Amino acid sequence: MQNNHQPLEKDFPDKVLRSVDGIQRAEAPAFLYTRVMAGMAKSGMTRVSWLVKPAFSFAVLALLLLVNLFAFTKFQDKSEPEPAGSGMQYFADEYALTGTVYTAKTKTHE
Amino acid sequence: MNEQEFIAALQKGDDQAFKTLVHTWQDMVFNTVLSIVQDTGEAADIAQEVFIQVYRSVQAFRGDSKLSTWLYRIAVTRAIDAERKRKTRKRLAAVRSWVGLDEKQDNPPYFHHPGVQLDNKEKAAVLFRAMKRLPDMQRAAFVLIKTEGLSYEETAAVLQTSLKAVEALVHRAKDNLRKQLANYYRNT
Repeated sequence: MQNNHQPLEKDFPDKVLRSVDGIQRAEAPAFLYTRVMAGMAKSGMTRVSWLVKPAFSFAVLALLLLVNLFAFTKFQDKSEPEPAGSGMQYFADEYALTGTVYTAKTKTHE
Repeated sequence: MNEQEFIAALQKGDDQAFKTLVHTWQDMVFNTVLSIVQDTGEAADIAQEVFIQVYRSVQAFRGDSKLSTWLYRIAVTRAIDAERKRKTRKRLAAVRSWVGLDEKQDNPPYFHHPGVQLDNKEKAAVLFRAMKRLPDMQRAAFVLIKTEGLSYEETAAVLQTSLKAVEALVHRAKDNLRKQLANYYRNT
């Protein structure tokens, strides 16, 4: 560190020992807290909200399945009965359509 | 909020309290670690590990000492552990270069602590290099007193030893440093 052409003083060791007197504290790098949190997340240490915990997700999923199953079995038999007559004729009658209704097989009405 | 309430909040897992802890003590932890390991990048990594360890073990903190004393203790222990690993790697590298497996390692560059006054910069760099050769406990005591400005009593609390032991550690550290610096003086 020192220039060889410049002789060191005899009290060099003591001067060196005193060189850190009045030293200022070094500042931590910016975003250390963010780094700490990232390090904790990486090692799986951060607290996870109960909303995203697997147990809660599975419970919600199971509840949804049960509700759907219940709805399916409950309302299956109560579905509206098929109206009498052929589909096309029923449609024509329902909307008072006049004229010919053609089907694939026969002409049914003039 | 006094210290006991603050510790209680930390133990309850209060995120805001933990954020306050990091922001309040980050410079203290970083400076302590940096003065021991003398590498900015490594010091940042170790400071990060210190706070993660604090988060993990705050439940076990009983308040027997001040929170700052406990933080200093974790920081010093982590930094010294890192230094031991570095020395082991260095010895291994020396052996590998000796048997011809690796190229010979150069001396690391001088470390310049950012808090040193400009006119003391070169002398302080020589001192920090000499500090690297001190035994762990002498180095820890010297760093806490010289770069963190702790009292002998506070240093004794951090190092969990007696006041007389700290006085002896610092005395021996200064003796060892003087010898090294005298050699440096003779060889320059």
